[in-house]
Amino acid sequence: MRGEHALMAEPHTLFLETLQRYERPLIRYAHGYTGDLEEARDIVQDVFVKLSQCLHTLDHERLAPWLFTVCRNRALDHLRKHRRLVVMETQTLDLEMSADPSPHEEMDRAEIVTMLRRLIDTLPTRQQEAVRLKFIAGLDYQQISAAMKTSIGNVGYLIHHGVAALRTKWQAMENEEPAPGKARSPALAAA
Amino acid sequence: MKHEQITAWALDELSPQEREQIEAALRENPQIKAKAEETKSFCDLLTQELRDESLAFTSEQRSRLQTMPPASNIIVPSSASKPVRWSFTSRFGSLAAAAACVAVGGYWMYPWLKPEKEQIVVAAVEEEKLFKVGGPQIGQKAASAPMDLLESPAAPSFGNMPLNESLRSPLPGLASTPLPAAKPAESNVTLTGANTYAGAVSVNGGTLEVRSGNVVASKQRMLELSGGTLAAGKELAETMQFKSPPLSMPASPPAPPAAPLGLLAANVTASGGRTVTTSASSAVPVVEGAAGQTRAFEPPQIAASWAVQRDQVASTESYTRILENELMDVRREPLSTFSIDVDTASYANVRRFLNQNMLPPADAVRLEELINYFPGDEEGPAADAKEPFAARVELAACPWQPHHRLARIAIQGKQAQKGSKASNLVFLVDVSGSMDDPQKLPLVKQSLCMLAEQMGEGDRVSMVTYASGTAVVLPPTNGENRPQIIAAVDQLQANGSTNGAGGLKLAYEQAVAGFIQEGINRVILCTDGDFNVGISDPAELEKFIAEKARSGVFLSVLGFGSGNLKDRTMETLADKGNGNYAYIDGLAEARKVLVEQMAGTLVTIAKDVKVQIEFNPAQVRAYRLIGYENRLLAKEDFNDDTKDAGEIGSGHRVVALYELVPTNLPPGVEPDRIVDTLKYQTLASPTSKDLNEVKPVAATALDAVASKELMTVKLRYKQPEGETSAKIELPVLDEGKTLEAASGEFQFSAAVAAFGLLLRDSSYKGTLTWESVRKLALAGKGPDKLGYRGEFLQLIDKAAGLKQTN
Repeated sequence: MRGEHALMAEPHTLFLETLQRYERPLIRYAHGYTGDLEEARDIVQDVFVKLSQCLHTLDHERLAPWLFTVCRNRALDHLRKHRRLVVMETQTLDLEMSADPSPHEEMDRAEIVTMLRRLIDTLPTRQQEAVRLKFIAGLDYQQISAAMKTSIGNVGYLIHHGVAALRTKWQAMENEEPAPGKARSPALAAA
Repeated sequence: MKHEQITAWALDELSPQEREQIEAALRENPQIKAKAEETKSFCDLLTQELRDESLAFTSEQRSRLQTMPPASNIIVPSSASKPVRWSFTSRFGSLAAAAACVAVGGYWMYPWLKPEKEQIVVAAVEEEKLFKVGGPQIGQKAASAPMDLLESPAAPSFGNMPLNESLRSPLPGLASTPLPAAKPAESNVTLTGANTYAGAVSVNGGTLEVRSGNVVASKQRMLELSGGTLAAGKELAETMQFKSPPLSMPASPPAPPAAPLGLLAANVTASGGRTVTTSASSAVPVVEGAAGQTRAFEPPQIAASWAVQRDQVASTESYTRILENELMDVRREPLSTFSIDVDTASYANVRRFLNQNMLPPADAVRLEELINYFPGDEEGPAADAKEPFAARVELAACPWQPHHRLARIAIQGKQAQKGSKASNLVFLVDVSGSMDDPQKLPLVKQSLCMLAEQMGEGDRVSMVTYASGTAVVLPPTNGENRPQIIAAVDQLQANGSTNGAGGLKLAYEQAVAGFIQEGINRVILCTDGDFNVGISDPAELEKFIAEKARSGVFLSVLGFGSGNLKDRTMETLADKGNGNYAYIDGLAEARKVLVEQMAGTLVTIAKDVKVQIEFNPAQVRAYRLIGYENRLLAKEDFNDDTKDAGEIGSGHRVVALYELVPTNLPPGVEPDRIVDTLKYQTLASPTSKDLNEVKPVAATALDAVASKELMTVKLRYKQPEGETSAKIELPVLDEGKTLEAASGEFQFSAAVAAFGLLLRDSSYKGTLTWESVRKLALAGKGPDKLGYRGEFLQLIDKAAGLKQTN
């Protein structure tokens, strides 16, 4: 066991760095699935504990894909168990989420996020996955391709179609509900 | 591609050169620029709205993670890993750790208990080894593989560890949990709210399964382990509550099933370090709803929706290039020769792609395999017939070229009952790390168990695995001894690199060693394709497997999963190894190949089956064989018995379609000359008027035979153990049927071919539309008792949809 202590010092630094770097993206990402911040925190804690256990077996350059894959599996498993709860809680918790904008803006923001989330949920599985990794977790194509175990070209394809689908649905939604006095995203002004 | 690049540009994912290119293009074209700007704003919106930076740990959680001591390689009960657990418990103040559990494959879990809860549960948990098709996995298998007990030998290193002791000692903050006497029938676990993880363990038929997650129901039910394969003792399914992920622990060796120690008492019995039961003081309640999923099948809707969770799409998949067969001029090439093919992998593979909302690569679409996937209603040979199959030909109008004809040649094998022959099967399973995926090893196991369940006395089953090394994990075992076979299958774990250099060799050795004369001797290879038999050169691989085939042992190749599918390699092995290749994309397909059509998969009724057709230039101007591109044979090969060809299994049906251009085309429809007229030879060119007068031509020319026959279909085949082929000849006349008058089977085969043509965007697709394909398929659907054709209709719709958006 002796010799292992030396080895352990370095991984620990790596662990701390990884924690620092991926804490928020992972929680966001998990939250994207669960809608509940507490759950998301739990899930991500689990991920980091697992990371610390597995660190010595992983490729240090490619932790992100691993982290997000583990996170996703846990989140989905969790989701499978109590989907109902998630749907109810999303509404309330979204409001707690926003930073410190004014109450009016806060509502809008929460609404937009909820809407987008729902739309994302309607995407085909692979596109959904790529979109989440890109926009929620903030990974780049390279990392996404590693996480999803596919080619970068395929990632581009999935994201393109996912974004296109989201945009179409978003616009469709916008057209259905005229929003009196509510600030809408500037993206649609041009649409 | 352009569109995707714009999105990539909007997301700043392009290389500097690419960005330059795109921006230049945008500058030139204001319309595209406007659209690109729109895309960009929407992407910005998504980023901005979805990337909420405020979601983070509480500072407590963060500092706890930061001060977590690094994990040691193997975690033993008394080791440092304990502290990790406690820090989480303190978050919930009053949580107390509970008993550990041992899982099949040996994971420990430390559940946490709120003191007011009465019961804790100890159960064997195997996080990842759930027998689910594509279900979400608890925890990450791949990464944790090395550190768990897969490496550690069965039990010994951890000694006989009484659970309760290890649990009681070092856990601080553990309230002295009241350990209720085990009266499970009465105790009730009440679960608190959303933040409680609970797991449920159920054992069934020899497997311990666990699911974790929140359990909302409070009703409980007893579950009893029934499982001859697990070591004696009672079983437990208990609910566990725990907040953190389980620790991985090695299995503890058998402990006497004696004295109950209350809750924490799980006495764990392990046998062989692999299969484990836990016996507690008594059966423990399980939360309803989480329990009892047997190895049997996931409800289809779940399987369908989760089926693509872990899918890995074509990153390193490889397909043989398909150069479509062209229209051949009959006068120059009157003979068309090919080997039959009963593989169905391409259809299942295409289905896999479409179900993932992706279009398959054109090279993955093998038309003959699509057509041959569907069992049909042809009549088999007469009971007293010499030949093991019946062949018939039907002609009708070609759906995609109004003036062309379509010839359908169907060969229907006889139904030989498996029951009459003893089987000697060797399962050769790829257990390399890449098999570690819900669509792979778990599905393999289920498939093999399905097959094993049909074995009986007199049959012989053995199993060989290969990963970093090869191993015989089950010596030849009497088919009656199913529990033993199933146990061996259950124990399969994926790990290690893919270096199966000896795998095939070992499997064949086993097969030969257990050879049953007059029986079915077969190696069943289960892999995701990424298997390295030590031979990377395709030609060498062919030689290697052809040599193995001479031993009289046949081969079935079953492909699983995606991302690694070495379709090309697998097909080669099946072809040269006297075998068949199927792709198993789910339980339904496994059932089809290994149960419904098991006889077909295992029992060969004819070997080296070749087809040669001679067309009559007086009737047919040109022909095109649809599919079978990589099955073509030279015309001399037809009569050459040393040339290998395909096998037909019991009950199998093989269909081949030819598109025919009649000699007598209505005026104005004459196609352009395919080939220049020869300068030094003149070929007889019968005109529509004088079929009965053959014009004298140069001696070297071919004379058009004055016959009304369109063609003669010749078949050669060998008996499964034979070496000499026999021949059947069928002359064919065209009755001039329209498409509507054709049989349902004809229409359906044509529809499947049409589907393939559209999917590959063939240059021969003529007037096809997705609509017309659908109509034709519907017309030929028939009773469709097994539902495959209905499923095909859905695939048409999927493909149509995908093609439109691309």
